[in-house]
Amino acid sequence: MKARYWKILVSILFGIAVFLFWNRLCPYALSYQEQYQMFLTDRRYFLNFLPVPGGFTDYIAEFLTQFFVSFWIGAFIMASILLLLQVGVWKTARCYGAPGSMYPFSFLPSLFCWAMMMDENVMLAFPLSLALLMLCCWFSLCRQLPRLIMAVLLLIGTPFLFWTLGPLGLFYPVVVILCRKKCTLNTWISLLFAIYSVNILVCSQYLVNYSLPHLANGITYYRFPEYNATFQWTTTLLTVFIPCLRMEKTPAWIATGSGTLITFVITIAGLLVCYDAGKYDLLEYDGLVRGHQWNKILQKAQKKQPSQPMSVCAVNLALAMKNQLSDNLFEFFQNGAEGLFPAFQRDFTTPVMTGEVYYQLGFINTAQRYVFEAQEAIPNYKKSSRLTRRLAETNLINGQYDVAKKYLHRLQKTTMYGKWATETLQLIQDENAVNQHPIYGRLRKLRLTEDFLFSDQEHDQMLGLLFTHNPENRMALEYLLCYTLLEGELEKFQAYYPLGKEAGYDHIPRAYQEALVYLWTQSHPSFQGMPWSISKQTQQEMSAFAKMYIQDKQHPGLSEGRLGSSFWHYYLLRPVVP
Amino acid sequence: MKKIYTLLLGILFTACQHAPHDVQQVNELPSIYPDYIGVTIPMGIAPLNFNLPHADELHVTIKGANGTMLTTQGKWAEFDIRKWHQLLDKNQGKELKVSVCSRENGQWRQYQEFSIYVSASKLDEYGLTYRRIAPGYEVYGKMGLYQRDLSSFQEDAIFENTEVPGACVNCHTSNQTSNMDFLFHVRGTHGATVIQQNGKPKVLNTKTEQTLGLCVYPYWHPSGKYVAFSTNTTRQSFHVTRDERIEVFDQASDLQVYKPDTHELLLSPLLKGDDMWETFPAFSPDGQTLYFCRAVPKAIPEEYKEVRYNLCKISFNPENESFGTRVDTVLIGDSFGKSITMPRPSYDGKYLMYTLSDYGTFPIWHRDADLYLLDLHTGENRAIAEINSEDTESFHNWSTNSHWVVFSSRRDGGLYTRLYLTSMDEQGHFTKPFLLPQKNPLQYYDELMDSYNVPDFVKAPVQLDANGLARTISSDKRIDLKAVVK
Repeated sequence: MKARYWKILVSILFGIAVFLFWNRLCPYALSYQEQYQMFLTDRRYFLNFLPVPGGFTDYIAEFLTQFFVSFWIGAFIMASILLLLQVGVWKTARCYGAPGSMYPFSFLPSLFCWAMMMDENVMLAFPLSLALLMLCCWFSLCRQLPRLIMAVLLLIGTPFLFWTLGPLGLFYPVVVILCRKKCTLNTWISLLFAIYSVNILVCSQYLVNYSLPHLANGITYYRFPEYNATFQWTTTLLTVFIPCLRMEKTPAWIATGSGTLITFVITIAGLLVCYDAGKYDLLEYDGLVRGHQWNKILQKAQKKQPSQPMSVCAVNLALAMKNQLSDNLFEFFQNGAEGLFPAFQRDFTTPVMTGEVYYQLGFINTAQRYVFEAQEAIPNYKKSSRLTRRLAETNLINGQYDVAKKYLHRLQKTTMYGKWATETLQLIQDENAVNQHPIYGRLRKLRLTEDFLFSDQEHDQMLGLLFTHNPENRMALEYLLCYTLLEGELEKFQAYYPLGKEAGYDHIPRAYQEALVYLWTQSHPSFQGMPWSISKQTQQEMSAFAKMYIQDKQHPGLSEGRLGSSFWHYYLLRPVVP
Repeated sequence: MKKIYTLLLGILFTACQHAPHDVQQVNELPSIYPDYIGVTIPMGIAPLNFNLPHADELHVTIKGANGTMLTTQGKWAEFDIRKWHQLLDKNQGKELKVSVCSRENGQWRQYQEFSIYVSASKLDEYGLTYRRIAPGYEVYGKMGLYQRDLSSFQEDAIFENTEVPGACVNCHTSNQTSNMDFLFHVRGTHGATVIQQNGKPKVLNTKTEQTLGLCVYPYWHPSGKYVAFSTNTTRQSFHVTRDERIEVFDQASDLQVYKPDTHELLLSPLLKGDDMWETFPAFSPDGQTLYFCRAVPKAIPEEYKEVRYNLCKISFNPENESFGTRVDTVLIGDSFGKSITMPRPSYDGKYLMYTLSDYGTFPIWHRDADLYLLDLHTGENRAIAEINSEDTESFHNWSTNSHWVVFSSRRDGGLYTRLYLTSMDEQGHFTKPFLLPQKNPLQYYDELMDSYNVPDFVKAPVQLDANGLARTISSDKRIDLKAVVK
C-alpha cells in the first residue's frame, strides 16, 4: 500500500477513535456543552458575536455545539475538528518540507486538544480556532508568495485572524515566518511582526470591555474568565512548533518510530490523567435527569452506588418519580437530607439538578429561582436553552404568560427547541389547554397558593404544607417522610406519618415499616400490639438486626443483604458527620 | 449627480413598497407598541418608532403645524432620525397628528388619528444613565452601567462587569445629573466604591469599624462636597406563590455623610443606632436638609410585613458639617399602613417624589408600589395616578429643570423593568409616560433579557477610563474612610 494511503488510513482511524471516545465513553459531556448555550438562528445574534476578538469562531463553535444534543453528531463534530487540526498541522509541515516519516508528530496537537476537551469547561472554540489557524497557515504557505505580498498578507491577516480566532490568531505570523521554506523575511522583520502582534492585543483592550489578561488568554476558549491556561498555551506552542521540526537528517524509521511512540504514550497518558470518571458520572446523571430517564438512572445506580451529593439527589429523584422512594431509599447510598435537597450553591450546575427536584415536587417558584440563578451563574455569560425552556415552563405554570412568551420567542429561534417553543406558544393561547396539560396542569394543581417565605432550613414544614395543599401530591409526602428519616428525626417522622392515610398507599413502604418497627421496639418488649401492618419479614429482620447489633456493632452481618440496605443500618451505623 | 442617484434609489425603493390602496376605515385607535398615543415628549428625543403587532406593513404619517409632515412605510414605523428632529424643532409646544395605516392579511386599514404633544419645556440633558441586569435573585451574570443618548438610540457602556469578572456594579449616582461628579459601587471579591470628581476616579473602602458595613444608597450634596449614604444589613428571602418572587429586607440600617476631600464619614447619633432603621438619604436642593426614610425595627423575617418607613428629615449645615438636633417626621407612612421609600426632591425644591408600597424597603418586587408626589410648600400629598400602573413603579429621578421625570416600571410584562419618561406642568400634573424609545421597540424589548435599574438623567456623556479603573479595582488598592461623630 502506498504511503499516502497509510496516512489517510491512520487519520481515519484516529478520527474513529475520537468519535468512539465521545460517543461511547463521554456522550453526556457533549450534551453538557450544549445545555450551557443557546444558539439563535438570527442575524442580530450573529452580529452580537463580532465586536469581540474570537467572536466569529465562537459563533461557529456555538453553531456546531447546538448539535451536541445528538451524541452521534456531537462525536462526529469533535472527531472532525480534531482531524481538521491534524490535517492543518501536517499540511503546514509539508509546506516547510517535512518528510513523510514525521507524520505521527502531526497528531500531537490533536491529542493535546482531545485531552484538553476532557475538561468540560474548555469550549469548542479553542480546538476550532487552532484548526482554522493551521489551515490559514497552510493556505498562506502552500504557494511561495513574493516577500512583499507575504508581508502585506501578514500585516492584514494578523489583526483579521486575531479578531476572528481570538489570541490564537496572533500566532499566524509566527507560524508563517517560521515555516517559510526559504525564510526571506529577516530577523528584524520577524521582530517587527512580533511587536505588531503584541500591539494588536494591547490595543484591543480599548475596543472591548475586557481586561488584558482575559483578552490574552482568549475570552471564548474557556468557560471561566479566570483560569490556569498552561495546558492551553502548551497545546498552542506545540501546534505552532511541530510543523517547524527539522528532522530531515534523522533516519525515517527513527522519526516514524519516535513519533508513533510519543503519540501512543501521550494518548495513554492523556486518557489516564484527564479522564475523570467521577466527573463524567455526574455529567451522565445530569444528562439523564434532563431527559427524565428515570429507569436508566436507577439501572446506573444499581451497577455503581452513587456517592456524590448530586448523583444521590438524581437517584432519589428517580426513585420518587418511579414511586419507589419510600420502598428503596436505603437500597442506595444516602448522605442525609442533602441527598434530597442539595444545599444551594451559587454555581451553574448544582442548582439545575436541585431545581428539577423542586419542579417535580410542585415548588414552582423555587424551581424557577434555582434555574434562573444557574443561568445567571454561567461564567461566560451565555444563556442556556435547557434553562430557558424550564423558565418558560415555570412562568407558564404560574400563569405569567408575558414572561413565558418572552422566553418562548427566544427558543423559537433555536434549531433544536423551535418546534417545542412554537407548540407551547400555541398552548398559551388556551388557558383550559394549560390546565389540562398532563405536566403543566398537574403542577398547577400542586403548587402552593398560600404565600410564605421559602426556607431551606425548614424543608419538612414546607413539604408538609405542599402535601396538605394537595393530598394527591404523594411525592411531597414521600420527600417529607424520607427527609425526616434521612435527618434521623424520628419524632417528626412519627408526627408526619399519619398524613399518609390520605395518600392511597396499598402497603406501608419498606423504609416506613423499618422506622415504625424501630420506634415501637424502643418502648415495647415485643412486636405484639403494633398499630401498623408491619410485614413478618420486616419483624424478623428487625429481630436479626437487633440481635447482631447488641452482640457487636461492627458485626459484618449488619451490612449484608437486606440488613445492609435497611433504615436501621443507615440510622444506627452511618458515620457521624462532625 | 449624487442627488440624481439618491432620487433614483428613492423612486426604486418606493416602487418596491405597496402604497395603501382599498383602505378600510377602522373606528378605533391602533394598538401600537409602545403605547405612544397621547404622550408628551421633549424636544430632541429620539424618534418614537413603534410597532403594530400582527401588522404585515405600516404606513404612518405624522403631521405637524405649518404643513410639516413625516412619512414612513415598512414592517414597523421607523422614522428618519434627522427628519424627525426637524419635525420636532418646528413643532415645539405643539401637537403632532399621527395617522396609522396597516396592512393585515392583505387588507389595508386606516385607524383613528392620534396625537403626540411636543413639550414647550425642553430637556436639558444629553441622556440617561442606568444599570442593566437580569432580574435575578442572588446571582448575577453579565451586567453593567450604561449611558443612553436620548436624541438617538446610541447606548454605551460606562463600566461592565466583564472588566472585573465576578463583580456586581450598582447604584450609579451623579450629582444633580452631572457627568463629572458621580459614584458607583462594585460588589464581589474586589468590592469597592468608585467616586469620580473632575475626571479623577478614587476607589474607596467604605467599611469602618464604627459603622454597620459598606456604604449603600447614596445621594450627593448639591455642593459636591458631601455624599449621604445609608449603610444597610440586608437580607433576602423568596416567596413560594406565583405573584411574588423576592423579598428584600433590612435587619439594621444607619445614615452617614461622606466627605470626599478628607475621606471622612460624618456620623450623627440621631441617624445611627439600633432603635430605628434609617435609609434612602436625599439632600434638599439647597443642601440644608437631609431627607430620609425611617422605620421602627421589627423581628425579621417573622414581621417583615410590619416594617413601614416614614419620611423624615434632619437639618444639615454644610459650613460646619453639623447635623440638626432633632429628626422631624414629614410623612407618616405607617399611619395609613404603607411604607415610604426612595424620596427624591425636585431640583427646584417644590416637590418630593417617593415610592409607596404596602410594606418594607424594597418596593421593586412589590406590585402594589406606586409613585407619590409631596408638595413641599403646601404639604399636599397624592398618588400620581396619571403615571402609575397596576404593576410596580419604583425608582425615579428628576431632570435638572424639574420638568421631566424618568422612572422604572414593570407594567410591560410584569418582570423586566423598563424606563418611562414623563413631564410635569407648573401645577404638578404629569403627562402620560412614554417608554424609552428604541429603533425597533417590539423586537428590542422582547429580546432584551435585562431589567433597567436606578435610572437618572445625565447632562453630558460620562467619561471613564474603564480599563484603568478595572486594574485599580482588581489590585485591591483602596482608600480607607475615617468615621467622625458630629
